[in-house]
Amino acid sequence: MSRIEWLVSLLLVAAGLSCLTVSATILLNPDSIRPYLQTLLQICMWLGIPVFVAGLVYFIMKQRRRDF
Amino acid sequence: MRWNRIVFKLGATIIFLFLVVLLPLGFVIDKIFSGFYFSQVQEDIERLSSRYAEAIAQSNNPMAVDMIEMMAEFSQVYLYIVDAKGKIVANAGIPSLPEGTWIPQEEIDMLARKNSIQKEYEDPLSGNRFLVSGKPIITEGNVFYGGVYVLSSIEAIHQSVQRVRDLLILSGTGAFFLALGFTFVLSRKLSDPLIAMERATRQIAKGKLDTRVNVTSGDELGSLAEAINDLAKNLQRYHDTRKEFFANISHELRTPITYIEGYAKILRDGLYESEEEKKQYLEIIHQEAKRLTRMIEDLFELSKMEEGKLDLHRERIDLAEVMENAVRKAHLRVSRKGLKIELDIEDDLPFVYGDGLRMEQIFINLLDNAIRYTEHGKISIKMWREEQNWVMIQIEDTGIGIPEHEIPFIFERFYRVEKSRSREYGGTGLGLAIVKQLVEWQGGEIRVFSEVGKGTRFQILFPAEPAKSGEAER
Repeated sequence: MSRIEWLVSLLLVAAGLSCLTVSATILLNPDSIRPYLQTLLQICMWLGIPVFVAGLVYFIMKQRRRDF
Repeated sequence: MRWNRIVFKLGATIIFLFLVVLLPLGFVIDKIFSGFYFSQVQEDIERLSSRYAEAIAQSNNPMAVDMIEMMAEFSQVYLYIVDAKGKIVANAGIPSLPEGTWIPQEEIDMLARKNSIQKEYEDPLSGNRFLVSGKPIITEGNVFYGGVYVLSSIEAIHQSVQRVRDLLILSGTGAFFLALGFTFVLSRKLSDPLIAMERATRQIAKGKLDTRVNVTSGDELGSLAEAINDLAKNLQRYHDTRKEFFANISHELRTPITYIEGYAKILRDGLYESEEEKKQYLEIIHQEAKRLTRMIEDLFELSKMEEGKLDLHRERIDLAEVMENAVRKAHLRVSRKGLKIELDIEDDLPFVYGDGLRMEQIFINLLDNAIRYTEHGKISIKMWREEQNWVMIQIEDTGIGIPEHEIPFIFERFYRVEKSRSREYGGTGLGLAIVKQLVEWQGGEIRVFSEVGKGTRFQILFPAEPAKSGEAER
């Protein structure tokens, strides 16, 4: 992948995270940026769950393949 | 940008699947939320109307209705209260239903029967629509006193639902962007090996046979990359072999012709000193002509075999007898070189189904090779039954041996282990290629084991022909 392709995909992910953060926080009528950042962190944690599980499965499979 | 690419197709498929899930899910979430919100509002106004009706029923104060009207106005609750005849006696926030107007008779009848009322009402003055909950006022003595109606604006509910719906759409868009970003990376990562393989195969097709694909995974894609690399290697080898074949064939044919031409010229011009010398030159011409004939015959046979045009007269044959004939023919040359030949054939060796002459040709070629590359020692031949249904033939010599890296190529045409001394050893360079073809044509397998300086062992396996009655005691 070229650098511009990585940039495009990162921008798309960032735009997606921004939309999710705003939609999850705006009804709470926050008076500062802090609640937005907290929601963003929580969304990233939820996003990290499948990434963590996939990474774990990949690691286990790699270990098994090495053992055989 | 070319859209007909695997990365776009893969990405579009993933996004399509994502939308197939996301859109119905969004619709269902919207429905669940709207339904939940409406039922919540309905419950609220029912609870409120019940509470007001109970408050009026339990109060002895004649001002209770006015107090509740005032409280409702103060709390911005839409409400109207009717008496037992259906006349509106109090109103808060509904200008189209002023005090003194009447509600429909069937409603007052329902309230009188202690039933609740749920309905929608459209204000004719403002055009606003309301959810309405009506409760009967029943006093302690079970006397019907009238009813309390509490209203909630549907427009307000719709506005709230719309706001949530907008946020749902925004979060859906966010999820779409997120999926798009990850899908882009994923589809590139999945399609990159395919694209690399496509480029490599194009390069190979253009003749750049040293092109290789980088094998990064152990899955089917990795296997495909390995297959492409193997194909490229085979093509490269085929290409090199063909080049080498043409170079060899021209060299191998030119050499005896040069000899014949040279010595014939000497004889024609009388450039010899004695009869003995003349005989020697004639012998060389004869030998080279024989060699040339044999080479052409071998080449012709080999090409027939490779084209699948070889005629085999297959029958049940006794390999022991065939081997004994081949050994008899080779015996003279073995003795001339001072070598020993050992023959060890197992009793009751089963017959095999093959062409006797071709079998003899196989054995003669292998013996010829063994004699040619063995200076001291012996040639041992063993034949035995292997795993019931196979016959094993082993020809082993104590010759110069074959380096390990050259073993895979010894069955190729004109491949010689001792390239620099090929004329000294003689042979056409086609013998082993013919042997391999003949063995495989007759359903057999040939294997070779060798060690430099110690010798070479050829093993041939042929499927045994099931014994007919009376032949088992052969």
